[in-house]
Amino acid sequence: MFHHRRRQRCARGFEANNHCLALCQVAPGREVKIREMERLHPPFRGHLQAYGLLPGRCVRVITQEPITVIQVEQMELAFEKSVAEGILVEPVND
Amino acid sequence: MAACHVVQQPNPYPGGKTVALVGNPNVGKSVLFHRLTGQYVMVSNYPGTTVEVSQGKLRKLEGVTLIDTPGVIGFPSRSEDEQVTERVLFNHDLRTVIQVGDAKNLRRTLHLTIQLAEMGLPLILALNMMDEARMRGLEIRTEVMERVFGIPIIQTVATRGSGIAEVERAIQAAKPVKLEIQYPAAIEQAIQKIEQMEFDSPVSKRAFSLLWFGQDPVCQKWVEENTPKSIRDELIKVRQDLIEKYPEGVDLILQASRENFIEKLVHDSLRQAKSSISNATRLGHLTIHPVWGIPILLAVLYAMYWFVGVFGAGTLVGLLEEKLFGELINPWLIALSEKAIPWEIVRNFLVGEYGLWTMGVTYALALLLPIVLTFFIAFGILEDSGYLPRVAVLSNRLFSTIGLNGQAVLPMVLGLGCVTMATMTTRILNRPRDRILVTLLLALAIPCSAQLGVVLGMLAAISFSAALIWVGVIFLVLMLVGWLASKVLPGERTPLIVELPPLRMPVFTNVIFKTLARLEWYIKEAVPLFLLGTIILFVLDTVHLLPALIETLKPVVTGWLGLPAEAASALLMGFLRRDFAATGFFVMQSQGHLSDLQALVSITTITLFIPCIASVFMMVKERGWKIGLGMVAFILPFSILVGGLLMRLLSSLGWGS
Repeated sequence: MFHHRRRQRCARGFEANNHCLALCQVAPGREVKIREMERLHPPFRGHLQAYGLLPGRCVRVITQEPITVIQVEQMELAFEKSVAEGILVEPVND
Repeated sequence: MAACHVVQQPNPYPGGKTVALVGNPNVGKSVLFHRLTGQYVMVSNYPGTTVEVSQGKLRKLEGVTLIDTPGVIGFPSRSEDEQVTERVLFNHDLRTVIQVGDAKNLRRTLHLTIQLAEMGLPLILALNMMDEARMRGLEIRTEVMERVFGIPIIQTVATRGSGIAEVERAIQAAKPVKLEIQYPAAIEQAIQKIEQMEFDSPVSKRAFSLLWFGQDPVCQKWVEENTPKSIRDELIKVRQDLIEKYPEGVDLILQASRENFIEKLVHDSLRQAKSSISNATRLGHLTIHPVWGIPILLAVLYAMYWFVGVFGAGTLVGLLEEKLFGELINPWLIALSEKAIPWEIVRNFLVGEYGLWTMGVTYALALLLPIVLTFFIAFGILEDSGYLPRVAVLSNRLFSTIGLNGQAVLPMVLGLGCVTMATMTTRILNRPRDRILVTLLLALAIPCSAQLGVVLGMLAAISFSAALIWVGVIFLVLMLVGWLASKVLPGERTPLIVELPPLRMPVFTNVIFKTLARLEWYIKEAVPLFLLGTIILFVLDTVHLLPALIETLKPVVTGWLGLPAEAASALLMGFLRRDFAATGFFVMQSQGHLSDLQALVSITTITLFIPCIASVFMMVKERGWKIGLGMVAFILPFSILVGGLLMRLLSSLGWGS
């Protein structure tokens, strides 16, 4: 379900597993729920949250290349890997 | 789930003369503004261009002004745009506030609705782009939300004019709303403390407190200017206690409460049917594909080159300059003035070599206008199609090597239209460091449409290899100077975060309105300077100072750059606007006075020259005189240096001979 599972570690040193991983590890096409964003630099966090990227929200990953693009509601938001690394998500059962 | 209650109060400004239009970026605010006022306004598809506030008279309510505010994502305000909008909400006695929301993104829309309702403003919500929402299988029950917020909610499709009459009726009937969402106890207590303080708040004290807790800059400034020190100290103390209690940020807590409230509401009022992915969405994904995105970008650039460079600078200029002015108007005027004007000096002033008409007006209208016109049309289409933010995504890696992010591509592309205008839009960049870098690169290495058209015409007359060399040199200079400057300037690079609006077919009338407004701006700004430049040249020529000045520049022009001596007068014009110089070189080339090598060296030098007097003013205005003039002092000798080096390199390689 998720790629790079072995190579990358989840933010905050959690082992990547089905309960917690960084947004940059999620394969395109998958839907995930935002769990926490506290690792992000506060201005970036504020910026993303204003777009509705809030803990509890479900988002869908559209692509990871050249940068991470996700869909929040019907809006597409693009940001660099360094930002996606700081967002922890959990899978949604669909 | 947070509880809430709604209280409606009578409108305190029933005769108020102002109505404000507020909303997230890219929700069709400007189109609605146009529908409600019937007046022109700039519309754009990427966040940041609507920096200025537009105003217009409402069609259906006599004597009432509608203010179109810059797009806001939410409060506390983070950008200059958002602060402008917040100030409108703070400082105007508003009769009604119309929130324009994107029906597709209901949660995002409602976050702002909550904040506006909390302020106690007479609010109505126009849920716009209903057509797009329906196409995506979304079904919205507005009556549920109307009950909860206590405001009229109208479904609109502004581009087609549907729902406009309902909005017009609702404007007249709007009443102030008081929405109260339950926040955690500590925050509620802090709000109560502030509500008991004695001062007049510009919005409801509850909303004011929430902004204050989030360290909103406009709120901060208002407090500094409008409250006595005793109150201010109390306010700071209340906020400090909260910040200590919530070190992760009070704003985070507020947003979580609102998100909870919205989640319940959306659950009750939004149904989503499974919908298939549209072709536009699929194409949108292709445009940022690491492989397919590049050929698409190249195709877009080529189409633009064809439209502006070949059609505008070639066909249109040929028709206007050679046929209309060269063969009809100018010979007729010259003949007429020879009969009607007995004084040679006046004749020369009007229709001589540096004549106000034969040089100034002819260049401005026949040469530059078609080029600028075609560029603005092309740029308007790109802007409204939603493609530009995708270029930011594609170019992000390239810009990261010069310490910027893909967002910098927006002012750069706009710079291809007009560097002065683009320098102003560097405001969309978040950090002063990025703004300085982009301003420098714009002034140095981005040719504006007026110049670009002339340059492309000249390159086409030489050879394809000349075009490659020109592009190569400019690109190399851009990267090298950018890389060096990013090393010298302190501060870190900001990662790219950008919204990708859906790809849309641009609305024809919008593109035309926008082009006309930009053209008007161009004519007001550029043509007088053009005429002034011609007059200066004429005076210098008449008092025989021009030969002396040209003589002074000669060592540089002939010795270092290897150009004919007459090129000095063209270069002199470049101090006013570099496209004047380019036009001068263009004329010299078409008369056979420049060899291929000389033509290439001259256009490379002039591309790297300072853009124009107006852009220097803008640089000084935006960046301060120290940085602005410092950049000019760097660019002038640097462009000449590169031109001379290129001449030596190419002639040693035997190019063009």
